[in-house]
Amino acid sequence: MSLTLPQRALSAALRAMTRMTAGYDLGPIQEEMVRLHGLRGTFRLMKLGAEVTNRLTASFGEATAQTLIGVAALWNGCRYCVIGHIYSANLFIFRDHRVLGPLDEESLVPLMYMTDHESFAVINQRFADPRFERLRYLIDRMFRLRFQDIDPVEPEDELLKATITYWEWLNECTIILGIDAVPGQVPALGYMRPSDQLIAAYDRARAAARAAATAP
Amino acid sequence: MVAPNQPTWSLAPIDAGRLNLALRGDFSADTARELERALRQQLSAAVPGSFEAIINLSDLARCDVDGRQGLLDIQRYLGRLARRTVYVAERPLFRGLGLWLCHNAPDSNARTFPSLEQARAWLASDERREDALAQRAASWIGRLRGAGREARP
Repeated sequence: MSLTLPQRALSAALRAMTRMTAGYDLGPIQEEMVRLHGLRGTFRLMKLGAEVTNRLTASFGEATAQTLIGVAALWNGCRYCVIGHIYSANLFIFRDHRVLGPLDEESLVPLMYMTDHESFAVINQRFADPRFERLRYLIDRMFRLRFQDIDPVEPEDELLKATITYWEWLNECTIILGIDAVPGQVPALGYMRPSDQLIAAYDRARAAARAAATAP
Repeated sequence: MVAPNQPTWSLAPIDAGRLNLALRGDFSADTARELERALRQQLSAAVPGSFEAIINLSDLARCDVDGRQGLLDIQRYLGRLARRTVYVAERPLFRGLGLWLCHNAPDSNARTFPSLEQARAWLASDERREDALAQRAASWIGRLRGAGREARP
């Protein structure tokens, strides 16, 4: 179904606004949102997404928030969102601690080939360092809420459930790119304008770590 | 792992209002064509809306771009006949494939789940997929606010 003139105008305006505020282009995703949800529905979708992201960030910090979003998207099978949000989490970790995040963007699609239990075990192991204890706990809760359908009981469960259900809804549209996305082609989603220097320093450090891991 | 000569799909006759289809191994355009032929043969006399289709992707290892397009044609055909279509996949990559198929068909009566158990409530309902997803998300976000003011779909 093709877009009406006002819908096309809104899609173009949203795209320009995202480029201006976040510094990246979501390609055809916003047009798909407008096509599926209409004008009001798209604004509502974006407003609720911002609300969940802000609440996650206020509760757990930037890197943890982006990691939780990335893991929620991973479980939906959206390569675009998992790569983009984990990339953001990695940039935040690198900016704040000068270390590489445990989930290399290159490892994400192979993780998605695993069963849910297998990938959950790998994620747990990658975040085994005590500094990630809180994040490990939150991912564990999120896994139970997503796959074991438990009722929220812990204080953070409702926020985690909102994250899971919101990204299930959002991925309905992002899947148009999420089916084939690969690292290097996805911007750092949810990170407003990371500096070029940060990106370059992170990319250099990641490339060096990959080279060291494959060295004989 | 699927042996080279093993069929890459299996299709059972409709039983108790349910069509069970399982995909395995490497799925290509050729296998999609064979499967579509078999489905059309089996469903030639099916009454629209008289059955639900369960498509199990748990043993799928790979699906190339042409195989994916073939599956999209199959979903479009099935969507005209099945009351509901559920893709079951315990690997997220193939849940993504299922989502892509449901979205692009487009078929509001098709949805992807990690297990058949998690699909039961949706199978029993009449809600469109998009509405169900929006309603659930808004409802949980509404609970965060306490008042539930955003709980409307």
